[in-house]
Amino acid sequence: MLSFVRTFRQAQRSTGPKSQIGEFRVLQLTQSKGSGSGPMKKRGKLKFKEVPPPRYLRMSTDQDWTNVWPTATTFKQSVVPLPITQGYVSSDNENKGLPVEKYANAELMKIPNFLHLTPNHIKKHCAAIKKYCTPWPEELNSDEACEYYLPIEITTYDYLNSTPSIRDSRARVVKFQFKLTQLEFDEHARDKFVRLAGQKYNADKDELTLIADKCPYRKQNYDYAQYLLTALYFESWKTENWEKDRTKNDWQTYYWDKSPSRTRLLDILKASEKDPKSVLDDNKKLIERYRASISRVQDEGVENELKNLTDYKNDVLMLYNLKL
Amino acid sequence: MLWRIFHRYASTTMTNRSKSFTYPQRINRSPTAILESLNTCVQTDGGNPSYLFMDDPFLIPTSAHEKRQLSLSKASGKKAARWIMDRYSYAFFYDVAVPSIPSYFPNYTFDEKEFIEPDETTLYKLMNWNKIIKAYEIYKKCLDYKINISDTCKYALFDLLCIYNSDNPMEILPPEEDWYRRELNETNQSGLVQRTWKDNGLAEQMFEELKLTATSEQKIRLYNSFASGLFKYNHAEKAMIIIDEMKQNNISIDLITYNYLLRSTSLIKETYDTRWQFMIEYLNEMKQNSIQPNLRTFNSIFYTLRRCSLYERGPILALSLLNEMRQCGIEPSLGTWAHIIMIFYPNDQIGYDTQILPQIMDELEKQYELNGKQFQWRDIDDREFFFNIMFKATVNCRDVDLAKRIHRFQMTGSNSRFIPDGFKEQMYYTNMFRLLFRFDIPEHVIPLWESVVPNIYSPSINIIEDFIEFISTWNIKDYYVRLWSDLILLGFIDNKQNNRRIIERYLALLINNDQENLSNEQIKQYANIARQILKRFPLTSDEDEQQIDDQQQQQQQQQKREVNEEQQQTKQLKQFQSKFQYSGQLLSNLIYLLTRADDFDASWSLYEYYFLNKNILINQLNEISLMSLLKLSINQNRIDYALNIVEKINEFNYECLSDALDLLNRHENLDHKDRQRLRTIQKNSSLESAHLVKLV
Repeated sequence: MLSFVRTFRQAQRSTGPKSQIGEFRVLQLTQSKGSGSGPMKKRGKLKFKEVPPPRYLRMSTDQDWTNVWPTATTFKQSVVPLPITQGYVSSDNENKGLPVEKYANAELMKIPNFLHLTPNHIKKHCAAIKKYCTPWPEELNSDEACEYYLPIEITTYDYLNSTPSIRDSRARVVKFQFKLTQLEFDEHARDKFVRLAGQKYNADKDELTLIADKCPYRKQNYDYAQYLLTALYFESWKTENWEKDRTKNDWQTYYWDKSPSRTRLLDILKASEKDPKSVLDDNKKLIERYRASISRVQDEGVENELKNLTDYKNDVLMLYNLKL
Repeated sequence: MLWRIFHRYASTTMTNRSKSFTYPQRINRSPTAILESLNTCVQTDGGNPSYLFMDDPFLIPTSAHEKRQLSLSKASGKKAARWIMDRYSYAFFYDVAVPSIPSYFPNYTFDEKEFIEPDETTLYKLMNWNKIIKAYEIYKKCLDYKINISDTCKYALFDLLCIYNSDNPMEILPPEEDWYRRELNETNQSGLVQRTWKDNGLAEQMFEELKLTATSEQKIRLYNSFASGLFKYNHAEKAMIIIDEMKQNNISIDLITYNYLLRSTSLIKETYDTRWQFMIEYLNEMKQNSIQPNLRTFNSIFYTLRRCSLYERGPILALSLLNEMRQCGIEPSLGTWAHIIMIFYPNDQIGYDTQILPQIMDELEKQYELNGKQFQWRDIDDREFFFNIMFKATVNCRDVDLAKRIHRFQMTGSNSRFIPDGFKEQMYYTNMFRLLFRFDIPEHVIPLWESVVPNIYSPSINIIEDFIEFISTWNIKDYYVRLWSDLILLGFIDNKQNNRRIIERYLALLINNDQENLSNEQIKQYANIARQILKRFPLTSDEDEQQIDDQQQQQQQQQKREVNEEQQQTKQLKQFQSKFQYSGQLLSNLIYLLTRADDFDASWSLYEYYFLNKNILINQLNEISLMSLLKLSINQNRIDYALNIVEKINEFNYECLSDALDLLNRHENLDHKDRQRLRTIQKNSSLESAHLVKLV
C-alpha cells in the first residue's frame, strides 16, 4: 500500500511566550534562534511498498510467448526474459565499459520492437485468418496468364495514422497500368496513342501508366482515370485534318516507301533503262537490298553504325555496278 | 465499360486459355472480423497483470486492496473528466476525430426554451438522453397546451416508463466500478426478490390515459408492455390482473410477456406442483397461439424450477426440458446449465451420485469447439454459470479433477469474461482452492496457485491461512521464504486488521516443522525474515511513547492555530507505529529464529523489551525461546546474561528449569559467584526436578 507519513515544519506564527497583562508586548517580526518549538520535527520517512521482483524471473522456459506479448507495445524490461543491451559506450569510464543493460534503457523503449511477431505468433495469426482466405485461382498460373486475364492493374493506397482522424490526403491517388498490346490498334492509332501519352508511356516495358490525383476523392480520381483512358483510346483512332501535314521529320520510323530516297533511286534507274515500267521487276533484288540497308542505317542509329554504313556502301556499289 | 475495349489478343504462347475466368467470391466478413479472429489467438496468461494495471513493476498492484483502490481511482478519474466536460462544455467542442466520436463530446444540454415551448422533437431528445421523468412532464405540458403528439411518440414514452419503472434509468457504471458492484451497492446484497414497482407511478397514470384512446393493435402493445413491466419489477399480483384483463378483452400476449410470466411463476403460485401446472398451462397456450419459444423462455422455466428447491420431480423435468429445447433447435446457453446445476444440487448435502457435472462439461467443450472456440453472451443468466458449477463441484461433489477441468475451461480463450464481478471471482477461487488444499498434492496445487496468484486472483485472508496450513501439512520447506515475499506482495503484512494473525501463523510454521535438517542458508533467511518484521514494526517502548506525549503537550502550549493538522499527523504517526501489538508468543518466536542464526544482540534486545513492557504484552515468553537464548549465551560465554535467563525461567516456573540449570552447570567458566547464584536459584525454585540437579 503506498503510504507515507509526513510532518510539516511549521513557521512560528504567534509571538513568543505569553506576556502578562499590562506588560508591553514586544513585536517580534522574525524568529530568533533560541525559541523554537523544541527539537526539530523530523520529516517522517516516506514508506514505499515492496516492489515485486520483475516478472521474467518467474517465467518458465516453455511458456507461450504469444500470450505474454500479444500485441505491439513498448519494450517492458520486466517482462522480457532476455539480457538485451543497447547503447554505445565510448570509453571504459562509462558504465565500466560494458554495454548498457535493459533496465531503464530509454533507447530500447524508443525503437519499435517485434516481440509481437515471432514465428509462433505468425503461425497462430495465419491459422486464425485462414478461414477468410479464398484459394488462388488455378487459371492464373504464370505471369502471362495474369496479363491475359487481368490486363489492367489499378493501384490505390491506404494510410493509417495514430491520430483520431482516419483521413489522409495521399489516399486519393489512383494509378492505372497496362500494356498496350491489350488494346486494339492500327499503326496510326498506336503511334498517335503513344504520342498523346508522352511521358506516361514506357517504351521498354510497353506500358502505359496513368496516375490520377487531381480530385480530392479516390472515387473521383478513379472515374477520371477511366475517362482519360477512354478518351485517349478513341482519340487515337481519329485522324484529324492537320495530320496530313506530316513531314519527313515527323515520321516515327523510316518509311522507305514514302521517302524521297526511293523516288530518286527509281528516277536514276529509269533514266538508265529504256523501259521505265519494268525497272522495278528487273532490279528487284538489288532494290530490296538497298532498301533494307538504308532503312537500317536510318532506323538503328548509333548501334551498329559502322556495319550498317559498310553494308550500305556495298549495296550502292552493287547497284551501280561500280567497283571500288 | 472499360472492359469492352480490352480484348484478348492471342498470346505468343499457344496454350489454350478459356476466355474468362471466375473470380473466387470474397468471403463476407464484418469490419472487425479479422480482429476478432486474431483475438482468439490470445489466451489468458497468469503471469501478466490485467490490462488495466499494466505498468512499471513498481506500480502494479498485487493485493486485493490495492487492485480495488487503483481501478476505482481510475474510474473516478474518468468520471471527474466527464464531469468537467459537462460543466465547462463550451470548451470541448473542437472535434479532431474523423469520423467524430460522440462519447468524447459533452452531453447535450437542454435549452430552457425547449422546455417552455415543448415539441415532439424535444420529447424524443429527452427520451434519447434517458431523462424519462422530465419527458413525462413535458408530455403533460404538451397535453395542456393541446400540442399534438403522434402515437408512436406516446407509445415509445410509455414503453420506456414500463421498462424503467417510472424512473430515470440508472447510469451505467464504468466497468471498473461495476466489477465491485456488490460491495459498492449496499442495498439488496443478498439478491432477494423484492417488489420494486412503483404503484400509482407515472407508468400507471399513462396506462390509464392511453387505455381510453387505444386502437386494438395499440392495445396489444400497451397491455403487453405494462404486464412485462409489472413482472420485471416483481409486482406479480397486479400483473396477473392485467393478464386476466387481456384475456377477457381478447388481447394477444406476446413472447416477451410470456417469458416474464414464466419467470415470475414462483411469485404467483405457492406449491411446486401448482407452479409446474401453471407453467404447462401457459406453455400450451403459447403453442395454441403459435408463438415459438426462445432461449429466454426456457431459461425462465429453468429459473422457476430452480426456485422450487428440493422438488423431487425437479431433475427429471429439467432433463425433459432440455430435450424439448433441443427439439426446438435452441442450443442451451451457459445460463441454462447454471440453472440445471442448481436444480440438481439444491443445497449443500444432496446429490453426490448424479454425474451431471462431468456431462455438462463434456457438452460444453463440444459446443466450444463447434462455435469456433468462442462463446457468446446469450442470456443474462450466463453470468452465474462458473460460480455455480465451481461451487457445486467443490462443495457437493468434492471432485478434484472436475474442479481442475472447470478451471481449465474457464481459462481457455476469453471464457473468463463470464465471471462478471469481483465477488463471484473471489468465491470461485475460494471454493476451488479450499477443495484443492484438502484433497490434492503439492505438485499439482503449487503450479496452479502460482499461475493464478497474484495477477488474476488476490486471495483473501482465509485462503491464505488455508494455504499456510497446506504448506505446513506437506512440509514444503523450500517454499517458506517465497511464501514470506508472497505475503508481503499480497498485502497481508501491511493490513492492520489481520497482520498479527498472519505473522503469528507464519512464524509458527517456520518454527514447528522439522527443525533439525535446516541448511545454514535457510536459517539465515529465516533470521532475515525476523529482522524484517522487526524493522517494519519497530518496538516502541513505553519511554518513547512518553516522550512523544511530552512533545505533544509542549506543542499544544506553544502553537494553537495551524497545529490541528500537525497534531493529527503526529497522532497518526503514533497510531501507525503502535497499532501493531507485539505479544509474548510473537516475541518468543522471533527470539527463537534469531538465536538460531546466532544473533545475540537482536534477541537480547527483544528479551529486554519483553521484560520492560511485561504489563502490556499478553502471553509469556515460552520455554523454547528461553532455552535457545540460554544456549546461545552460554556458547558466546556471556554468563551474566545466562544467569539472568535462568532466573527468569525460575520466575515463570517452567519445567525446563532443570535442563537449564544442568546446562549452565556443565559450563566450565563459571566462577564462584555464579555458582552461588545458581544454587540460590535452585533453592528458590518450587520445582522438584530442579532440586534433583546436582550442582557443582
